[in-house]
Amino acid sequence: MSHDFLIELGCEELPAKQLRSLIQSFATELTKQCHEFSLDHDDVIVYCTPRRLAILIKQLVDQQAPQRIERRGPSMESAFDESGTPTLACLGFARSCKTSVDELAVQKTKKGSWLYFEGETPGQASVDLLPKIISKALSAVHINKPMRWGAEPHRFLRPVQWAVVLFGSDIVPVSLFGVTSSNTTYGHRFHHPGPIHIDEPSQYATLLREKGKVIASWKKRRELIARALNDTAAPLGRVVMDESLLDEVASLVEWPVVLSGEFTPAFLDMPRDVLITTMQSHQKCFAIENSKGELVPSFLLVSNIQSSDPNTVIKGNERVIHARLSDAHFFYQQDLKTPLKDRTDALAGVIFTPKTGSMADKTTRVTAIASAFAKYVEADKNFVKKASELCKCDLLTEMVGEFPSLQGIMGYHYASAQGVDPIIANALKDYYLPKSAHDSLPEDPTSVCLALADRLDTLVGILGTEGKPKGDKDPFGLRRQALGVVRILIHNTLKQSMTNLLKPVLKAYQDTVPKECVDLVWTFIADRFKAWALEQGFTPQQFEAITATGSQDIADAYIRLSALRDFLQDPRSESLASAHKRVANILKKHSGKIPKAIDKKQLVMAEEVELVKSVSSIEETVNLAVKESRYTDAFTALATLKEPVDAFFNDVLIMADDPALQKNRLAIVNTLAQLLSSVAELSYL
Amino acid sequence: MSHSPLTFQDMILTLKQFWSSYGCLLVEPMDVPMGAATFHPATFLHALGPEPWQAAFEQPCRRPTDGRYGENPNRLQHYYQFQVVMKPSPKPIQTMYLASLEQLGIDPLKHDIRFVEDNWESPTLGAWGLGWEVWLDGMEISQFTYFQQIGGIPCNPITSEITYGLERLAMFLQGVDNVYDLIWTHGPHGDVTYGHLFLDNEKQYSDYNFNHADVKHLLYQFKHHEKQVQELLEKELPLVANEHLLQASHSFNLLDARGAISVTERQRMLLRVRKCAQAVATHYAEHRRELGYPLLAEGDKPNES
Repeated sequence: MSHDFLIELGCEELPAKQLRSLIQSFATELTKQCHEFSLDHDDVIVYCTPRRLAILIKQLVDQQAPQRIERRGPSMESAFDESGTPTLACLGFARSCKTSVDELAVQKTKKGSWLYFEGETPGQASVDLLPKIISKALSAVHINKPMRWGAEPHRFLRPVQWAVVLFGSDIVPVSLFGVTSSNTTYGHRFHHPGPIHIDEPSQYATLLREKGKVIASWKKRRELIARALNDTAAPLGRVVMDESLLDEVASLVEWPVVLSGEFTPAFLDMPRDVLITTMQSHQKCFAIENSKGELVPSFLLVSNIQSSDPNTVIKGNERVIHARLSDAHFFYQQDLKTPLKDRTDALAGVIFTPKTGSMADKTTRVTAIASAFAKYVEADKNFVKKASELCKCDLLTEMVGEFPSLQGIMGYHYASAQGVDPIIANALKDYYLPKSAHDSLPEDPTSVCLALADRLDTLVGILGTEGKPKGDKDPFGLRRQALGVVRILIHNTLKQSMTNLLKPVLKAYQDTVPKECVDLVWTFIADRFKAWALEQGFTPQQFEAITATGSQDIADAYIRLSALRDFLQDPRSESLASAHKRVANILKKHSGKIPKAIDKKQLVMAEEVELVKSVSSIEETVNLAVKESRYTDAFTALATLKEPVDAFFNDVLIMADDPALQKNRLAIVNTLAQLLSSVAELSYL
Repeated sequence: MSHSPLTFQDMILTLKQFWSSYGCLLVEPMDVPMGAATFHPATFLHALGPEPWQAAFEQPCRRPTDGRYGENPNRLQHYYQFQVVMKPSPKPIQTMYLASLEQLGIDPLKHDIRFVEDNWESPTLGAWGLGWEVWLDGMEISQFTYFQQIGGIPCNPITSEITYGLERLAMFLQGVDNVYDLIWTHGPHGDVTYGHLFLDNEKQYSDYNFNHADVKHLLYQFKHHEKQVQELLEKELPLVANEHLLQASHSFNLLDARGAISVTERQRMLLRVRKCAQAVATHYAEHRRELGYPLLAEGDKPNES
């Protein structure tokens, strides 16, 4: 028999950004514990709102399956006295196994013999196990910044107010965070503050919706909000949909009601990004645009109440949006008065990190580094220099002070308004790309120089002075920065070894970072490269096959990887890989000297002659293709070796008795090995 | 609204009455300039240690950098907070707070009231807590915090702190867009507004904060108060030391408004204030222990070892 199981923790308003990861982690731990206690069940459904975390486990069995037990008891010497009578220890062990001495077995090991019990105990009732399962699961849940409240010793994300724990229609008696379990939940804070009794776990969501004015499912709330946003925006235009804001508002309400408000059209003279950020970041409101993609002077808000007078809610929000936009407008007008380049001196007052100096120091370094990179991407050195000098200036503007997420974007707007060349203005914005793992990438040469210079400066400076970030703690986002470097190099096919790229960085730091840190920087970036490559579907073996050479040229490695992946579709690749493995093994076993050149006079067998002919006929083609990074062409040429290679290994005895023949054949193998590994170490596959 | 909205002073009276009915002591504001009611000993110091504490009070606050010469309708360098601190935090504290809003005439079924995550951290007090800002139709009207640590010392039991932004709340209740239009009271000779009382004050102090505060003297004051904190703590006078801590902090805020300190120097001075705050907290906690925790009920007192 089985029944549905429900647990709900009623909380004071939980932080929106942790809500979903918390319930997911709780559900994972709870099902893990059920599994450990051998309690089978059907689907697991999670619910979360700002005031509740709930998990419904369908058809949880009533009873554990019988449990196998294996136990080792006292040693034979201490279990029986000289006369063979069971000792107290022996009797005690038998009793604890709920069996008689006769039923006990003997386990013999090298070290001696012990009493042994193997048997089954009947499974326990789920209702008795659940309190343990719940508390184990809850203690395994990771909570970022837990808190205490009142005089309670407990810690949780926010104070816990009630707990529903039901198995079928029975309350599972348990105390959680100082609250005793019951079958009573509470509805919406204002629409239904009173108790709601739950008779059956499966009624949970329906009861809350119909009685409590609470949509318990986060996904359902998100869908409802998205639909309501679209419907409400329709007469005015379309919603500027921001998925992460949608996620956040779905975590801020239990009963979403979308309303629209207006603001003074005069504010529309500010850049679109400023308007959107002002509405989104503090007020969690959505912007609306018309069919031409221009913002209209309206916004959408997601309230948590079916207000008796929605106009009051709208008016209140309009007032706040107006005040916020007035502030932004004031900042914008103020900022425009100071040319960006006049702010460079003040950068000396902004710390980058205590050990790497101020933002002015960073600017000086980035300028030198980016200028050194200009030749690699054919960028205009003058543009690169000017853009570098301006790239941190917007950090000092009022607007970026208020909205840090607008860094770069404001640099672009202010530079454009102040008549700076569009290429430079654009670079001030684009060098921040990519901002996240799947963000777009800079392409303009000036932006690319700046983007790489800024990131490598940060990586060298921080890894060189603070070492690798530990665990979750990566306050400077070094992993993200390193991944950015990898993606920028690949996207722009910027083929340079990291050693080369890091030279001007070290030079810019003069002696303030240890030289050896370049190794750490390289391994740190290489780790990100690998993680990224695996995410792109390359296998660890393919990655190793390419990077085994020790080359630090990421863009080149990526082209090789792609060519390798294509080549592996060719059926001939498999036998070449195994041939390469064989070749590598032979060479590894052989310790003596191997002549470089093949002596053609020593070729006695037809297969030898054929292979040497094939090898020399493609050698040049392969080398040229590799030189020109046409790795697919190189593989195509190599593929023609399949038949002669197979024939060679089938019919020719390499370790021939005649030492001269043996030496020559080893020379053939050696030449073949070098050729086969010219794009990738095929033997790794 | 059918009845006329509360005046500024009626609002304060209502809040006092309300929290008094829940057993809060009505203490008075402190007579030393401070940036937030959290600095009042009734919050900062009383949140330490095991003694229970319930208090409600309004506190004038000064933030010299927020001066706008009376030209901004929302921003002031001198304003009022109404503070409620309860230790241990009562289980229904949120419900109590919401009832206080209803008392002020706010219908929760008409307005959109929300608790939005906003954690509080005061580097100067070596203090942090978790909680929310409370939104009323999108406007922040209160801060709600469960103190976790004060002066570097973990809190136990936990104090809940509710801070009402009185001007914002009054603007909402009275439906005005400019703080200076708030009615303070309906006087016998006509309405007295917030502007009547404070517009000139804002103009004069903005001018002083930004242009005339004596930098040399303030730097001296800062050092002097800092030194006093250490000396007074050595003499085991943590309450007096605390007052000098507040004054050091205010001197620092004025210097900041004058633009007299660089970013690096600013960081260093903040660190010095924090050091003072930690020392005051540690000494005060120890002092209360020596006094045998006078506010603790007899049965709850720790046994002398």
